[in-house]
Amino acid sequence: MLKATGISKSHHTPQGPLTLFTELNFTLNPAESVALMGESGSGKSTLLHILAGLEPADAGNILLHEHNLTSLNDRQRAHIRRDYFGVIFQQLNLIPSLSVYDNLVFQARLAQRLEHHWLDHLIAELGLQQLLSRYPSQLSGGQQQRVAIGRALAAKTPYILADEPTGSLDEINAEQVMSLLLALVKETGTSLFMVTHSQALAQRLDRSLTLRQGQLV
Amino acid sequence: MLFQRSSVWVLHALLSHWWKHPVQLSTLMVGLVAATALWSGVQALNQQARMSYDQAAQRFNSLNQAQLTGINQQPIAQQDYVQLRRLGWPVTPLVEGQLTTDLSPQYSFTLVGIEPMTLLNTESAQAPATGLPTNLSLNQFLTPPWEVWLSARTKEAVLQAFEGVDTGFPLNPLGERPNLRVSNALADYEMMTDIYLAQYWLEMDQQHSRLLLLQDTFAQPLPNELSSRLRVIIPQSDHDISRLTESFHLNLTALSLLAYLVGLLMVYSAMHLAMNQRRSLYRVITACGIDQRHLMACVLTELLLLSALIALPGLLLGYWIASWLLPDLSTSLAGLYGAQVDANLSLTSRWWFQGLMMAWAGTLLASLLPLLRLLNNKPNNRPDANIIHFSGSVGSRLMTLALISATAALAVAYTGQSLLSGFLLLGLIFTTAALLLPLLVDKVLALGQALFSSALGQWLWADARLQISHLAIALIALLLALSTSIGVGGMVEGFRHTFVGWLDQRLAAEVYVRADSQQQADELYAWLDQHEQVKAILPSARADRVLHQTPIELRGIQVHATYVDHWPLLSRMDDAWSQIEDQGAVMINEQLARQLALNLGDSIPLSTDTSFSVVAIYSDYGNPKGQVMMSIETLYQHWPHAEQGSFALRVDPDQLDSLKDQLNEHFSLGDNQVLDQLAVKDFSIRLFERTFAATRALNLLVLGVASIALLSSLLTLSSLRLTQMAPVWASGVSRQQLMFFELMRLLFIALITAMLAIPLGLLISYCLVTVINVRAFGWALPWQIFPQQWFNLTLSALISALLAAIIPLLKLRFSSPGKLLKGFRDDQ
Ligand SMILES: Nc1ncnc2c1ncn2[C@@H]1O[C@H](COP(=O)(O)OP(=O)(O)O)[C@@H](O)[C@H]1O
Ligand SMILES: [Mg+2]
Repeated sequence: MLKATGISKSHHTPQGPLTLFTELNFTLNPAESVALMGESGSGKSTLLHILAGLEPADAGNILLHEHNLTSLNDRQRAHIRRDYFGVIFQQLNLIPSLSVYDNLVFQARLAQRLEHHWLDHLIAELGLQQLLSRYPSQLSGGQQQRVAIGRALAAKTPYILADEPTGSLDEINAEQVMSLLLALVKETGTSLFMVTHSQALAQRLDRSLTLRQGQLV
Repeated sequence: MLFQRSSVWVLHALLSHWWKHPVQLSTLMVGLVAATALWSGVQALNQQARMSYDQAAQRFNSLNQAQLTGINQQPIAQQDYVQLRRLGWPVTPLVEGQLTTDLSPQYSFTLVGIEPMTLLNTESAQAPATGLPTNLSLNQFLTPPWEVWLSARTKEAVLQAFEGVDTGFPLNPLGERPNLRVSNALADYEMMTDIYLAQYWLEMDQQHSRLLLLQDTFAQPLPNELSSRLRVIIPQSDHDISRLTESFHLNLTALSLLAYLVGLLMVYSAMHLAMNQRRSLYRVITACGIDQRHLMACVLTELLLLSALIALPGLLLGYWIASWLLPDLSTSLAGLYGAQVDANLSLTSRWWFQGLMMAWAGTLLASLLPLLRLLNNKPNNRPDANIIHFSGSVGSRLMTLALISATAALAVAYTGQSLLSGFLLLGLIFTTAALLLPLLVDKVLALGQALFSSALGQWLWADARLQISHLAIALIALLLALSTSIGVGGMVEGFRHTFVGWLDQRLAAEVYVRADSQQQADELYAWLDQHEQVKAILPSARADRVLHQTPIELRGIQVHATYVDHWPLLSRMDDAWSQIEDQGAVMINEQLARQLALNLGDSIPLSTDTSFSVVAIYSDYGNPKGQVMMSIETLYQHWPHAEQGSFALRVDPDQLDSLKDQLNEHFSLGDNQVLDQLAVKDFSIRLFERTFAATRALNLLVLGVASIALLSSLLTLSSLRLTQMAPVWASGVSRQQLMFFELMRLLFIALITAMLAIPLGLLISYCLVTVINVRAFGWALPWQIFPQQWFNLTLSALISALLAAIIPLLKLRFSSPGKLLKGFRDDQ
C-alpha cells in the first residue's frame, strides 16, 4: 500500500511562491488502478514526481509498506524506486542511444530482477518482436510508449506511475497503448496511478480523482 | 560502496551515447588527443633537452668552466700544479684521454681522472658540476683496487668490449682489476676514476691534461715563470648564446599550453553538447532508480575511462611529434652547447603518468560547467534547444566577466615584475578576448541586421546571430590560434630581422684571429702588419670583474670606423665614440643597463678610484652577462693584467681565403682561433632557423586543431540547421541559394574573427617582445609588424572555414526533401 498523508508543495517562481497543494492525503491500494485528472498546471505531474521520490515534498509523509519515503535520502529513495515503481512519462521515456531491447531490460537489470520468461511474454504482448534491435529514433510515438510500458513492467515493480502516457499519441494509437497497459496491469496485479486528461479513460480505472485548487476530490 | 552492479548498466547507457553520436565523439577525441599530444610532446622535448643539458653540464669540458691549460695543448706538469696550489690558486687537476680497445669492433672510451680531495673540498659556490655520484666513498675511490665509474649503458659496452671485466679489462698498477660502479650522472662512453689510475693507464705519469679553476672570479695574474707554459681561460661570454635555448623552451611550453587550451575548448564543446542531449537520458535513469550522486559518480567514471582511453593515442602522437621535432632541437643544442642529444627519445614512466594526469585534469576542467548543470537537473526540465541570445542577460554577464578580466590584466601589467606575471598577463588578455568575441560578433551581425530590411536579409542576419551560440567555442579556438600565430609569428620574424641586422653589425670585421699567448700575439701582429691585404688590425683585450656580486665582462677595443659605423647602439650621446677614445668613457650592453638601471650620462662604479661615464648602450642578444666596452688603452690603464683578446681584421673579401691559408701556414692555429665572419653568421642564422622551426610547426598544429574544432561544430550544427532552414526552403528559397547563403555567412563570421585576431595578435606580440622577453632574458626586441602575415592568416582562416563548411554543405545539398520536412513532423 502506498499512503501519502499531509503532503504540501510549493514552487519558488520569479513571481513568488506558487503553492500547488497543502495537506493532501492519498492512498493507492495493491492491485488498484487510480486516475488523476485536473487542469493543466494544477500540479498533477508534481504529485506524481513526489510519490515516485523524484522530487521532495515540503511537508507530509509517504508510506510505502514499511518505508517512510520522506525520511529517506536521495540514494535510498532511488533504491525504493528501482524496486517498487515503474515510471512512465508523456514522452522521451527512452534512452536514445540504447536499442529497444536494452531499453526494455534497463530497470530490470538495475534491480537485478530480469526474468526471461516474463520478458518474452511481455515482448509478445506488446508486439515488439520485430523492433528489438532498433533505436528509439526509428520508432513511432506509439511504439516508443509501448517500449516504455514494457520497461516499467519488465522490472515487475508492484506500482506503476504514469504521467499522461498517451498524451502525445493520436486517438487510435492512444487507445491501443492504453488497452495494452490496462490488460498487463490486470494480468500482473500491479497498482496503477495514472495522470490523464481523458474522462473516458479515467472511467476504465477502478477509481478517479481530480486535483482542484490543491485538493483531491 | 559506490561501485554497484547497477553501475555497469548505467555506464553502458552513458557510453552508448557516444557510439550514437560519432561527431561528438570525434570532437572529443580530436580535442583531447590534440591537447595531450601537443602538451606531452613538448614536455618530452623539454625533458630530453634538459637531460642533455645536465649531461653536458656534468662533463668537465663544459664551455662555461674557467680553467688553465698548457700552451699549445701541452700537458701540465705536476710541479706547476703544486706551485699554483701553494700560491693559493683554487685549482683541481684533470687527466683525460681516450681508452681504446684493440679488439674489433673498436670501442673508445673517454677516460677522466679526477682528484676528489681538491675537487670536493671547495667552499666556492661555483664549484663545477663534477658528475660525481653522491654515494661515492672516498676511501674506496682513492685506494686499491680503485673504482671506475661509468653509466649503465657504458658498463654494458665495457662488458661486451672486454668480454667480461675479469678477462680483458685493464689492470691497475698492482695487477688487480678495479671495481666497476654505475653512475647516471656520467655521459655515455665516459669513465671516471682516480687521477692516479688514469695517469697510469694513459701513460701520463706526473702530468695533467688541464686544471679546473674552481672560482670563476679568481682573477690573479699567473706568476711569470708559469705564464710561459700555462694559459688561463675564462669562459667567453661573447659566444655563450645558451640563453637562446631558454627562450626556445619557454616558447615551446607557452605554445603547448595554448594548444592544450584549444584542445580543451573542443572537449568542452563536445561535453556541453553531450550533457545537454543526455538530459532525457538522465531523467530516465533517475526514474528507473538511480540517485543523483550515483549518477554523478557514473558520469565521472565514464569521463575518466573515456579520457584515459583517448589519452593513450594522444600520448603516442605526442611521442611521435617529439621525435619529429627532435632533430631540429638536437641541431640547436649541438650548435649552442656542443652537446649531442640522443636521437632516440627516452621517456620516463613519469612522462606517461603526467600525460594521463593532464588529460584527466583537462577533461574534468572542460566538463566542470556541464557537470554542475547536471547536478541541477530537475525531472521537469526538458532538453532545451540551447540557444543563447548574446544581447540578453548572458551578454551582460559575459561583459561583466570580460571587464573583470581586463581590469585584472591592467593591474598585472602595471604591478607585475616576474616572468610568471608576464604569462598571467597573456592568459588574462586571452580570457578577455575569448569572453568578448561572441559579443563583438553578435554586435557586428546586429548591425548587419539593422542595415538590411528585406525579409530574406532579416532572416540571413538573424539566423547568423542564432548560430553564434553554437559556434562560439569554435570561434574562440580559431581566435586564439590566429592571434597566437600573429603574435608568435611577429615575434619570431621580428627577432630574425633584428638578429640578422645585429649580427651584421657585430661581425663587421671579416676575420677574427685569437692568439694563444702574448708571444704569439706579437708575432701575429708583426706578420699581419706586413700584409697589404689586411687593411686594419684591431686588437682587443678583456678582463672579468664582479659588480654587485654578479660577474661582468670588460672589453677593450680600438676605436675604429669598423665599430663607429656598425656597432648596434640602442642609444648614444652625440660624441660617444670620441669620449670613449679620449676621455675614458664606456658603453654598456642593454642587459647591464636594465639590471643596474643605468642611463646615458650615469657613471658605473667599476673601480674605486675612477668613475666611468656611460655614453652609449648597445644591444647584445643572447648574452646572459653584463658587458662594458671601452677603449683598449683605458682597459690596460686600469687593469694592466687584462687578457689579450682576438684581433679583428679588415680584409678585402676576395683575399680572405688566401690570407687564411697563409695564416695557417705560418702559425699552427687551432680551429677556433681563426673565425671567419661569414661562417659565424651562417652558422648563427642556421641555428636560429632551426631553433624556431619547432615553434613554427607547433603554431601550425594549433591552427590545424582550431580548424578541426570549427569543422566539428559545423557538423554538429548541420542536422539542427536542416530543421532551421526548412521553413525558409518551404517558403520558396532554393537549396542552392540556401547553400550559398550558408557559405557566405560562415565566411563572413570567420572574417570577423580574423579581423579581431589581428589587433589581439599585435597586443600579444607586443607583450612577448616588451614584457616576456625582457623578464626572461633581460633584453627587449624592437616591436615590428608584418602585415603580410596578417593577410596570410586571414586567408588561412577563410580557407579553414571553407574546408570546414564543405561536408555540412554537401549534406544540405544531398539531403532529401523528406529530411527537411521531418522538422515539421515531429517536435522532438
Ligand atoms: N521546478 C519548478 N520550478 C518552478 N515552478 C515549477 C517547477 N515545476 C513545475 N512548476 C510549476 O508548477 C505548476 C505545476 O506543474 P505540473 O505539476 O507540471 O502541472 P501539471 O502536470 O498538472 O500540468 C506549473 O505552473 C509549473 O509551471
Ligand atoms: Mg503534467
